[in-house]
Amino acid sequence: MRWSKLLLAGLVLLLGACAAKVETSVTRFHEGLNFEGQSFVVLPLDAAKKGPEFAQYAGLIADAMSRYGFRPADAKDADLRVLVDYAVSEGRTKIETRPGYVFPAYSYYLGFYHPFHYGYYDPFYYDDFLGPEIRSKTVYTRKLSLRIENVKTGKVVFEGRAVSEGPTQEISLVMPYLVESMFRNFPGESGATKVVEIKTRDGHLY
Amino acid sequence: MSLRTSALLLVALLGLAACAKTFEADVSRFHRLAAPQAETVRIVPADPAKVGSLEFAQYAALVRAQLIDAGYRPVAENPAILAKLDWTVSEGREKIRSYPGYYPYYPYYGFGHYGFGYFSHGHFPGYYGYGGYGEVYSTTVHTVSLNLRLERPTGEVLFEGRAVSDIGRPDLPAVMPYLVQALFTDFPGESGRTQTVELKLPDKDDVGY
Repeated sequence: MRWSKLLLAGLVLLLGACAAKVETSVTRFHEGLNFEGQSFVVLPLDAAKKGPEFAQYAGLIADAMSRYGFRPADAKDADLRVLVDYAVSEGRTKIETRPGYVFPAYSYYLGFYHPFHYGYYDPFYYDDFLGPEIRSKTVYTRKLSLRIENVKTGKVVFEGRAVSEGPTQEISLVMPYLVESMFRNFPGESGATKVVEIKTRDGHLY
Repeated sequence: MSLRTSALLLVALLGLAACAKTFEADVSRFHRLAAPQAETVRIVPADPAKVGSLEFAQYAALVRAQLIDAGYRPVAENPAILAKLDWTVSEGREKIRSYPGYYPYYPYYGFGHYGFGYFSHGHFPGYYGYGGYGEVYSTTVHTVSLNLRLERPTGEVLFEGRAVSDIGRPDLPAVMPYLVQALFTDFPGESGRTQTVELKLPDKDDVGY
């Protein structure tokens, strides 16, 4: 019996590892322009963000744009100006109930002879009975926004934001997923919000 | 039999939820407008950061259609009225919710005792439960607000209005058509009054929660 429980716990851990993903809502606006072959420069929307941190994110964005046929260029001879901003919200508290664990034999003992009654939700508890728990967790909203302007005309050719919610406040850990979501099927359907799910590389939940 | 009963109950609940899809907004309007007299109007962003924005253009198109219906004539130059448009979305906040447990084998314990009853005694409402036995959880709510001002170029304000709604997902392109429609319901409306406007949502739309 103990073996089967351990096995079950292992299985759940495995499943849990597979399920770690970053879910991002991507909203984009554009007028169906063809960007092919145009050169671009990535700049912070807020000049105060200039620095190595911004440079790191700008690098991710430049890589993504290069894959779509844009050419990185210096600020003075770029066709397009990519204005980037990012932010993390204050945390907020979410409440959830974790179902209880009742071992089958005890389920019956307790009068709950029910096919769903035995749970496997908490692999770390080998108690035979554990009631449900109400818990709180903190989530943060992480946001990347991007505006592409034509340098000559000043006209906005693309606007997009990628917003994701999760337990990590540190935006540098989330930025690769925000950028990848923003550029998934770029430029995408204009004026619509799409949800992009990306499995995390190391199986951690961000 | 009881599995089947639970399944049926679940389907019935889902059915009810499907019927209840509406969009609600609180609409407040202040104005000194007589009936519109085919005056010319131009829609501009109230927030300078939104000048040239494609997102703004998309929502302005919705407002433009409503202004035309209300009897105005949109023009690009020298308008008699400037329509200043803006919107805001709040950070998310959490609302606590629960659904009561039910217990198919001992219906007399059902809702009262092991559902809310237990809760009120400081126990967990889902104590005996898995899923369908009741849960406490939170959902995210964002407040969206659409603001419109009609002004003469001289600065005289003719109309001020806002439509405010709580929504689950801050999916602005999906919400904005309803917010705009709410703001223009019985336009210009009674001045100085806040009305709750309820709009039916088509089944496929997932605005709100």
